[in-house]
Amino acid sequence: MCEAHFAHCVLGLLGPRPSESAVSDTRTTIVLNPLRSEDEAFRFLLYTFVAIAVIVGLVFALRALI
Amino acid sequence: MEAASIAHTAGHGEHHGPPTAHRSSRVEAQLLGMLLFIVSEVMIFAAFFTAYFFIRIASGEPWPAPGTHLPEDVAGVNTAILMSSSFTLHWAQTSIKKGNRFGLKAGILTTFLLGCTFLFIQINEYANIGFAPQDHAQQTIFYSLTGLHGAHVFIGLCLLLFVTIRSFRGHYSPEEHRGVEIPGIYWHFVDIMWIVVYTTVYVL
Repeated sequence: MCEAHFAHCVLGLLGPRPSESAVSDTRTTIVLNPLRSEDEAFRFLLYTFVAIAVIVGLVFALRALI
Repeated sequence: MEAASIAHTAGHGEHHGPPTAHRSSRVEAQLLGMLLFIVSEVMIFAAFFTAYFFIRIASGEPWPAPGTHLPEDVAGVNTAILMSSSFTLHWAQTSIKKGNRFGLKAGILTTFLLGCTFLFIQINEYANIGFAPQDHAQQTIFYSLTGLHGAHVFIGLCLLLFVTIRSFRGHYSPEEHRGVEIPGIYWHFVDIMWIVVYTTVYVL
């Protein structure tokens, strides 16, 4: 009984995670992974656009000052 | 060992033992394939950007070279077109998740047409830009970077063509639409790369 339980624990450590579709996972996560789903890729696109717009604005402002 | 794991699965409805051979236990194979492909393409772009920054900064020459004019306005319109295509693609994806097949077809067809428009404008720009790739190192890297991106757009259009045809044939459903999602991830990657290319080559 103990051996079976021990083997189950070891195999559980080596086995796969509970079934979870990486494609359909749309939970809000702290880290945005644009390669996980289309939703996150689209959000990453929007964030990138905003970030680059800010950087371009800063560069133009610095060029105007200098 | 595989037979034993299958027997376990059949008996308990839950997988025991090591994962299936040649398969990730955490990421679906199709998504993993696209993930690895995009990572490799990012590395290629990184190499080209390295060359671009070397030519632009290390050479000490002004960018663009005197007598050369880069069509920022046309490229700006192209940027708007490509961004719009990402919105329509997201619309298509959201539609099929809700079972709205009309939204899927309209969105994916619009995305494809916008992508074709982008590529057509890019090719037209090459024909009218006024310099050739072999004229100067700056011109070479300009054509290389934008041409590399154009090749990626072409690949994306091929994928979108398959998706469009399959959408009109009714192959996708709210339960199964990986064929829309995975090319969608690639298309957004292409859009992100264009924003970076446009900013560094045309704007800054």
